[in-house]
Amino acid sequence: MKLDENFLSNFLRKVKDGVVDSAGKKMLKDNPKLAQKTKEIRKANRDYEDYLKKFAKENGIEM
Amino acid sequence: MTEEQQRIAEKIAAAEERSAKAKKEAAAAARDQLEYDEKLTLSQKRSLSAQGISRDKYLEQKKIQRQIADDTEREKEAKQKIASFDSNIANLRKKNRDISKDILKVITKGSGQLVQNLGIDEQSVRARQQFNDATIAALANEDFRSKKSQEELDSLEEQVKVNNTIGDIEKEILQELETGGVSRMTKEDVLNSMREKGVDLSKLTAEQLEKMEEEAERIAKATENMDENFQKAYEETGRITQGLQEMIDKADTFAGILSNSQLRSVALRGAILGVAGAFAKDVFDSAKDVRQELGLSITDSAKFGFQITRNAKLLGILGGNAE
Repeated sequence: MKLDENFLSNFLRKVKDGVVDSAGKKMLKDNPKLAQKTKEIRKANRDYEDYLKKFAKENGIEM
Repeated sequence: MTEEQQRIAEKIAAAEERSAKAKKEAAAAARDQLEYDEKLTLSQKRSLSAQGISRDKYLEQKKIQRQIADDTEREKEAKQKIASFDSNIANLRKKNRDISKDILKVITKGSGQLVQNLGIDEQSVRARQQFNDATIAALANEDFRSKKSQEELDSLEEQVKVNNTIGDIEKEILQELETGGVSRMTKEDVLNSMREKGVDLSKLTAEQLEKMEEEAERIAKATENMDENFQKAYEETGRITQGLQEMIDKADTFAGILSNSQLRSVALRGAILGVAGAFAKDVFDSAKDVRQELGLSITDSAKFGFQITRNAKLLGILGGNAE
């Protein structure tokens, strides 16, 4: 019988990730206003990333 | 200023510099003449003459010495300029690396991941870091610099500074979060902080300024979202994940024992596996507590329940009971 000695810690890591993920989802689900605001912020983040890429390209810099 | 006006201004500045240099040289030559005529004694002049150094040769020699001193001074200044440039590049590089590392350390682990929901996200931090890395490498390249105007170089360097400053402010927000409460910032507060941290607005183009303002607005919104409710959720999640992390550390130690054949055999003889079973039970009890504390939905509970049962069966081989 082959025993995977890491299964316990792997399982716990998944639980830990699940805890944070669930807490995040719950936070947004309980507060639709916050969810909307975070959507806007995420869009602002992506816009800024696009701008940096464009600015680098215009200056002949490869990112 | 038009290009023509710029060219004229440069020509005037160069002419003024030449004129000042000529005046300085004439004054130094006059001092040398005075020195030879009035300060050298007759015997000193005879001694020089005996060595074949006439008045003209003496004055010529003095002029050469001044030129050598000027060249040495210029070389020193050039070296200082290069050293200062290299140090500036090294500072930018270090700051970029340190800021990204510090932010990612917080937002990619445990309850810090919750922050990513509110606008300080890993993808953005990495994008800024990537831009800065590439731009700093370009700025350090002589060939790249020679193809750019000073204005373009300044705006690129300033963009790196803007990105570092954004990171710096985000880092401060995360530190506040860790110590119990984020102060709400307005867009103006963020912009003021950026200026205080040394961003030179005069070196930025209109588009760069606009984007910087948008970033200031984003950061202001993020601080608005990090209210008391978020702080509470952050701390609670942090407490739970910390507990789980301690169990993971113990599980890793246990895995280390199992992966070592010699230790495994000792463990088997010493019935450590029985202890491991008890430990595993603690772990799964805690996982269930986590579920209860979080008040997870039925679906989530069922998911956890499945995982716990499945792993309980796996644990059966260790003689434990995880349910």
